[in-house]
Amino acid sequence: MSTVDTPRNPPSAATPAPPAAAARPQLLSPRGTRLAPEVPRPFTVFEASVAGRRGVRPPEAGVPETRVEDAIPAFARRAEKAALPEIGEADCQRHYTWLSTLNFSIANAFYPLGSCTMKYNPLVNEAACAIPGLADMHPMQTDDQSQGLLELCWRVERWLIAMSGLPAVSLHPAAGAHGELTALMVMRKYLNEHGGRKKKVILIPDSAHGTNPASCTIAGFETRELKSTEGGRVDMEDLDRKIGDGKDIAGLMITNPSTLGLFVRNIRAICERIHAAGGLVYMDGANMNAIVGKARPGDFGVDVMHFNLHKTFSQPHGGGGPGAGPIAVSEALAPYLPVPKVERREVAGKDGKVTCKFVTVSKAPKSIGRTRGHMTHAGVMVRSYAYMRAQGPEGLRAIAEGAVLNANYVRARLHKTWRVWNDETCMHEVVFTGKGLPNGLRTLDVAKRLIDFGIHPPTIYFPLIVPEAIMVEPTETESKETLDRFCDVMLQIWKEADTDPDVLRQAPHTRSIGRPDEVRAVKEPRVTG
Amino acid sequence: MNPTDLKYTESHEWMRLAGDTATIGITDHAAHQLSDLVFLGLPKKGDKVSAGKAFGEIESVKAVSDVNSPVDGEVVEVNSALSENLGDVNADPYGKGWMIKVKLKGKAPASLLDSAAYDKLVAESA
Amino acid sequence: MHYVPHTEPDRRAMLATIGAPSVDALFEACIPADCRFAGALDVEPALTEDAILRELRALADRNVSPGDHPSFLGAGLYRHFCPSLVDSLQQRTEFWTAYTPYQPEASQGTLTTIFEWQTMMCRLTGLTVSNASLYDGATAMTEAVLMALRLKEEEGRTAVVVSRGVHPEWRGTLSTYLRTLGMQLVEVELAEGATDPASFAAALAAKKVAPDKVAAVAVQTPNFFGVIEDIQALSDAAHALGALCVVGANPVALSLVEAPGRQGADMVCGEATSMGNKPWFGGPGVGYLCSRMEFVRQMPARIAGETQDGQGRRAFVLTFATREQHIRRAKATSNICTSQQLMALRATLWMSLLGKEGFVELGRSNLSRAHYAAQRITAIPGFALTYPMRAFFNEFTLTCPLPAARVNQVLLKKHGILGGFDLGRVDKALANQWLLAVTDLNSRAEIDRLATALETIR
Repeated sequence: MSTVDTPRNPPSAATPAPPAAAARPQLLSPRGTRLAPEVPRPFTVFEASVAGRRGVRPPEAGVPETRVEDAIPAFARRAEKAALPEIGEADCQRHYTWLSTLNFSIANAFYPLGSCTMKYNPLVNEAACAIPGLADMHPMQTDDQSQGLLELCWRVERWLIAMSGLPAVSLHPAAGAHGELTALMVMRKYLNEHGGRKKKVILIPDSAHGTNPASCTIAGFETRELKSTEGGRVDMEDLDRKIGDGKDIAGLMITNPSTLGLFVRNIRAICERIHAAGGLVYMDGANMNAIVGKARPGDFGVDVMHFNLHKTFSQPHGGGGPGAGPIAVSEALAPYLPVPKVERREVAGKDGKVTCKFVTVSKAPKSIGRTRGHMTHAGVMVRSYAYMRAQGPEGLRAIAEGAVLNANYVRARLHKTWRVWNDETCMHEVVFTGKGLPNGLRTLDVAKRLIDFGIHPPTIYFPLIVPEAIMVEPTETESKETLDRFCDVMLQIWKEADTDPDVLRQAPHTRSIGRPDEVRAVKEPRVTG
Repeated sequence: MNPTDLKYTESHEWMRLAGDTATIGITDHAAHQLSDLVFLGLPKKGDKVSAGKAFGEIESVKAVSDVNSPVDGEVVEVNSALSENLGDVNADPYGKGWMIKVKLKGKAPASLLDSAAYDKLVAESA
Repeated sequence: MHYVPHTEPDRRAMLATIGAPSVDALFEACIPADCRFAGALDVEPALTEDAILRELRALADRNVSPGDHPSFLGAGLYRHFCPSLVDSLQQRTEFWTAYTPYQPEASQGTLTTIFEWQTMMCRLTGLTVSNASLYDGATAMTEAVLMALRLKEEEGRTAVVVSRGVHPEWRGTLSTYLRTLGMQLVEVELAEGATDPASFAAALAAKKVAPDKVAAVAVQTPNFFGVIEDIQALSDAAHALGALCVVGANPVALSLVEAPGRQGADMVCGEATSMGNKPWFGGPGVGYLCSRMEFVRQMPARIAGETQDGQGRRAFVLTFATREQHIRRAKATSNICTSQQLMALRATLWMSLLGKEGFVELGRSNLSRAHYAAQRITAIPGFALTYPMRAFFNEFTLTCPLPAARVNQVLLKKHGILGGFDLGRVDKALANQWLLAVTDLNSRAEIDRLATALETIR
């Protein structure tokens, strides 16, 4: 598995100017560095299984045996043991360790995935998770047994309130998309109780993430698409047209900064239009990394938003989850937030001293109810809280500043070769287009070739309004050397596209597999072993 | 280019009219855009269709597209063999790749394109 | 203390390349003045690592942790033995910091483990397709019901029958979603702790819902009160209505309980958190959903599938992607984007390490301990099994001589034992009902201590 091979101490350290081309490190030329043939290894743990092999022994019962035949009647008794793996402990360790080496990870690769904010995941957050007294807590313990965790959740809420500029928060949603859905349900109930039953339509820009319209459908709304301008901005004329007389307008879902990495400059005007139509403004907070501490959505008219704790707040991606999607809402929407939720109460003791305690509120008359089991992803809240405490107010601003500086640096180094969709100052991400690549090559080919250089491809083919989109978000935890290497590689790939197109077409050359046949996966499905 | 005896929609469907029965499918251009087709969802005999509205959907690995009806009417026949032979949509979109036959309600919309107008549309969108 | 590596010289060099005078200038170019926040953020000050951990330990100290006390609390989330290797393997950075496997060449590790999880869950449940996981049991059952509603949409079926044996939080979640969509939820009462199929007709009539409007019947086994349900009878009754049968099942119970997929269940779903994961106060956990391959196009969330690359090498990919939000957008089967991948990985590792035999041994250990506890406790005057004629796995309901809340209070204060779940919290009429879970982590000594303690509580 290749790592960043840029030396930490460049030879020309004494020279303040960027190093001359000759002093740049040699880039990997992966053709010919194909993996050597190796001992064929089984792919799944089932192929590594041998009948009768045993792994770890569970605890001995230690009590007189109750026979299954005596305890479980025939109508419910299992006839055959489930065919789970049969593998020794050491072989099991080998199998999964080897599988892990087939993955990229943040520890060994740069992941400039636009909109995903793949930043460093601090290990102190993991140490926080390992603290006894947190992970073992059962959600159905009583409040007096859970004061520490309840307070932690309440503190996370204070942070999100401060960053959003909105007065109320719910930590209930299990993921960003779940936050969108929960928020839409809150909006639906509020509108229903405020003469808005006929308001069924949510306006969504065509640049939006797919979860936005999908969440609307599940929340019982209709979606109406807003066309973006050439520059990927909200077309105000189209907005006015789609609002019409406003009678059926429930609201607008908008991502700010947008999926093009641009701050929606006329967000105040947009919010005013929606409010004038009696609608609510929902902000998708996926791109908060660009504006933490620099702008507060509540200040510019947003009524409700979600945060992705696995983006800005460094919750590790885990190969696909877990995430968490807390939502922040305006005063008017606060009573509709889901339950259960945590509240802080001040209690006057007999001695006159006031102490505070934290309670779980399970019933609130206007609440939409619950949208998941238990209260929250406490395990995610712990990590995010540890991360927030590492930042403090200055750290939050440093995140946004680093993110915006890094994205603009990449833009500046590449924009003479790669076409930037909006070649202007960007926020934390920059969108290129692969249209114009020589020899009929496509963005997909560029992505696959990056893999050969040990760089995870950026987000591709999103947003939909940019043809052959390549969305690059470096995040603030990447150093200048890493960015330089990425840019050098991108420039090399552009050259290769011109002079040696096959090396892109057949990429990647250095992984355990080449490009898989995805059509076959659907036409001849095999989803279990 | 595209068969001259057919009418076309802006959303790349074609229609062959015989009396009051229309045979409908997607054009060569549309089939080409979608490339490897993996799934086709078609209506049932007796279902009603409306001009400009979707009657089915077609999927490749990475994309889903609505297939729209050029006319109002009722489905009288469905090419059920097509699901097992999706390659026909690419190989012979105007022949074996037909999808449904519809008995017209009223007349076909005047806005349907003839082959020259459709050829122009395709050329401009390249 | 932040993780931004830039020094002043770094910044100057980068700004020079960009052609901007300062980082502030970049923000000024992007954010209009009337949207900028220049104030002080009202948040706690920054701490270094050691202070962060101290702060969190102080919070942890104010919790009463099942890690420090014998605990008999289950109610849907159970503690089971977890081999050390699960932590060690899951903590490999290539598993916990990897991104979603959209680029298969960079993610064969994750994709293979998803395929393994899917295979294992199908083998446990007796069905033929599984997704990569859902948020938790409550949302898994909700997604299963929504899936059934989509499958039955053409028939105009918009009602769902759910047993009161289903976990109250799952029913609560289902209720929120169905209310939002305008679908009808009809609850059926239990008879002697179990769901009686003969009660469906009356329950539907009482709510004025015609039987041919029912899209799904949802039950749970073992149910919330610990009772093992007769899935064959319930699925027969569901199918007789023309509805699909959704079964929520504790996967660890499926070590000894028959696979619901072999007894007529069309969807089997539930909470798999107890396999290899800590309870974490309720989240993040992991939900699972299995169904029949013929329904795959209506299945929500990610699915991994096997294929080949151009050289005929076996490869795993995310497949059937056109169901999902990033392609189908407003018409997606679900809005879900995340899977609980890390938790599902832990469950997969757990199942691999225990293996075919170990899993059944663990199940038997649970069965024996719970039945031993039941025998000892019901020998105490005043304590009785609420549903003596019903079978249970590792959890059962007791009728106590005094309110369960009081029992728990005394157990904790005087004996340092965390007792079972006070069912009075779900329904005041059940104040004397106590739901006790006994798992492979409750030793005989602990069970004896519990019994001795209860003897003194009258």
